[in-house]
Amino acid sequence: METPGSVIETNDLAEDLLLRCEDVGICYRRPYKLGRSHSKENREFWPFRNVNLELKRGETLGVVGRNGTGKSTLLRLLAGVTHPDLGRLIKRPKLKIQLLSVNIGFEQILSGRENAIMAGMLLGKTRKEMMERLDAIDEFSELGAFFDEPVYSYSSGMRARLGFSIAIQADPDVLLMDEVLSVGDRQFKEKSKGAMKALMNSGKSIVLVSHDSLYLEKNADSVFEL
Amino acid sequence: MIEFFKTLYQYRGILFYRTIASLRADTRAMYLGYLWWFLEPILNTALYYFIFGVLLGIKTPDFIAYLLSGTVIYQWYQSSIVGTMGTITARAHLYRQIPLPKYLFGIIGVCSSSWKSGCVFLVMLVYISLTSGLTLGVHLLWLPLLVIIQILLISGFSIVLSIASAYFRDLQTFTSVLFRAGMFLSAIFWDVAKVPEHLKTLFYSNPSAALIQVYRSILLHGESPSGGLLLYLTGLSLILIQLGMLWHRRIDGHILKHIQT
Repeated sequence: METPGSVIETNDLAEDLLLRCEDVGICYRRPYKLGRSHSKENREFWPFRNVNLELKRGETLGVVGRNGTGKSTLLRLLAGVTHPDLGRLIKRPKLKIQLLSVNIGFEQILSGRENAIMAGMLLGKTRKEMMERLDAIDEFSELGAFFDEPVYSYSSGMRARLGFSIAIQADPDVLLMDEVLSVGDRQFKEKSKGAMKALMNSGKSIVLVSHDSLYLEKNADSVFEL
Repeated sequence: MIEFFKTLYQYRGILFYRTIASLRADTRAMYLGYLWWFLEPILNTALYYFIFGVLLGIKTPDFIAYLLSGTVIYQWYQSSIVGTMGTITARAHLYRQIPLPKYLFGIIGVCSSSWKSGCVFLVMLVYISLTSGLTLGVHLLWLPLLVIIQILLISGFSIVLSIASAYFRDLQTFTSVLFRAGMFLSAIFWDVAKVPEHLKTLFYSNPSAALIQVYRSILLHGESPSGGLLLYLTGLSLILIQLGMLWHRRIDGHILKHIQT
């Protein structure tokens, strides 16, 4: 049955459950423009509807699907950035969910260090907490002297490494990762896979979007196909 | 309304550091850096003085102070509001990642342009007190209140227009026309006493005209400002903030699906 979209925060969930999607659907709508048909079919695009999904505490959930099936959209929905147009998203109150993609809106003219502090604050950390984590970010990102250079001087790989390192340090309850394991050179990829493994074992819930189905089969507790 | 102030308090750290960052990013990119904050209003005032004072012979008492106060206040008002439009689209990559109130970067824009204009405003105060002599008195106590009202007014516009301009890009072009009209209609470079009596209400319904008039009565005439105008500006600010917040609640979880970025 299709119900209008809503987000509900409640503790009334099965004990090991963090969040649940009930028949959710998302609709993208084109803006109005003079001289373009405004019929429903022409304006609306539904990447998915009637999706049912559960995330348990400590679970690693893989999400697979072809291009355009709404994998990134699903992660945004879980992150609370967009709300469903159909169905219900039920989650525990004050759940810290973090969407990790590689470019956390860096301020080009500021240094990696300054950006790390600011990105962390956007993710809900205080300035002090971020200051304490700076060394770890510096070390993990392997940026060396570039850590104090403005971000516009970074290569795209360096940017990605900085983003990944910040996100790992921001310490949420649920981590949503969108193709982040394809970041950086091979050496950094191995390292981030190691860090991922440690995260999975630390009891955090992780939702992982990847085209690397081999990796998902090996590491995820269950795989959801969109 | 209360929700708005609660949100500001909750995000105060981000507001503070993002404002500093945007000021720094602004000035690092330019050769003359911070100097531009002061050069721009001075150049504008000089231009207006030449056109309206010298060529057209418009005179009010203390014409330079009159021009300067109008220019500085109007620029504060305009640059804050114009700067806020398009922030949702410009920051979409961030809003797509972290659930943040969608007016956050608009308010950061208001903070940084208010900081800039506030510095210029202080310099203008020094100039006025050195040349025409600022009359000391109880009326000066209105000044801090007025600054607060002005920032509230700009914030109200910011919330409403940042959302509106995300849905209708046309609005950005349209407001640039509106602001040009507003500049001529705010008596920045002509004598406000020339407005005919029966059009005064209409003239002061333009918020920037009311704002400039209130500032001038304190700074140039040494009087307490008109209660009616103050009340109008305060009321308008609170209504805009309230409307903006109601609208924001409706669109918060959906706007990113419906706009072009």
